Amino acid sequence: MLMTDDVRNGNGLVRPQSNDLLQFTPSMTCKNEIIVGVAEFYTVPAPQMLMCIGLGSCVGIAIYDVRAGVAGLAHAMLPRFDDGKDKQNAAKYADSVIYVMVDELIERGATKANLRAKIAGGAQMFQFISSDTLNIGLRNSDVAKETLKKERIPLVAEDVGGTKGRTVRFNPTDGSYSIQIGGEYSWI
Amino acid sequence: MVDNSGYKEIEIDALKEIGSIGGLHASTAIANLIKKDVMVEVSDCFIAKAETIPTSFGDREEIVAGVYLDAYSKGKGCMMMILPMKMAVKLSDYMTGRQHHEPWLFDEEDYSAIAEIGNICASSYLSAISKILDHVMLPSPPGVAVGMLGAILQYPASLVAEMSDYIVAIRTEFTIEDTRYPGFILYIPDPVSQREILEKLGVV
Repeated sequence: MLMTDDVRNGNGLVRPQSNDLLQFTPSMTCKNEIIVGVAEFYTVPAPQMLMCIGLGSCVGIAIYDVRAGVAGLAHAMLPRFDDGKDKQNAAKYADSVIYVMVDELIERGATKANLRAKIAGGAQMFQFISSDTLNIGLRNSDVAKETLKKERIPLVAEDVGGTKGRTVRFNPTDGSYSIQIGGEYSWI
Repeated sequence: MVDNSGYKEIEIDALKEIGSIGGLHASTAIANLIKKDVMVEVSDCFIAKAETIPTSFGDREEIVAGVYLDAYSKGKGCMMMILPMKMAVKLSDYMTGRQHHEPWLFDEEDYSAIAEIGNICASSYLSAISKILDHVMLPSPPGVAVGMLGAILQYPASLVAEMSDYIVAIRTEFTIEDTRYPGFILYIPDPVSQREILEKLGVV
């Protein structure tokens, strides 16, 4: 932009290729999405997009503060920290990852009262299991909702259950959560 | 895997051997069923944290058909069969005598055909191992899912993560005559069976 304007105004003075242009590119294209792997979570400032590929029974918990422009996305695999074997990674469990993520968001400048949450995932991929005790997807999303309630973070929208895996993208700029199931896209 | 996390080279070889024995029995069973050649690769043995399962076995966004079964012995292990879509449709065609065409749509009949193939595979795999271990091993009724590989593998991953930190996954790849991309059988033994296997093979 800057370059073409200068040329059009007849300055003849083409700006040297400074960082001016370069620093616009990432935020304008939003191409660089951070992919949140299983049992990981990331918190980022606004233009950065977050993404979870292939959410099956795992649940993708997005917590964000639009005013402060920070957001976090977690990919939790199991419901409860207390029931789990591995105590080293809090990001593995739907309840503990919320506590850790909220702390980190506040460190990044979010205000607790402005935090909102959206969750997706928790599908039951395999059809044969009838009892709820084995339905890890349902347990994951239930525990996530329960913990959000306990932390007094309003759950704005959810897309949980079903039998299909999801790929989700979270945009911290406006808090939109795009969900792709198969070839179909939806936003919550 | 570089990080063997406490497993000796010889123990890993023994677990691979189990995969080969089971995989060969399973492939013979499929070959008899569909009257086609089934080729089996040498088994791999993965030792890793449970959360790495969904990303360890190929492109996690690829759409595949998966069959899941519990492997009951003294403990409860996991048994999975993952088939690329085209191979799943072909297998179902050979079994039911139908003929699928271009869009490769997967319907109810294909689901139950694939469930049956998974069941036969797992049963023969486990009965081969049970002969080594000298006690009964049985698969549970199968469950079928079609979806992203990563999403499907999350199910065994979270089941295993509830039981133990590190998992041992034995993978046996196989191809049938006219498909290029291999499907694979994944056996994740529970710690009790694992120890028993290693003891019976005399490597502990």
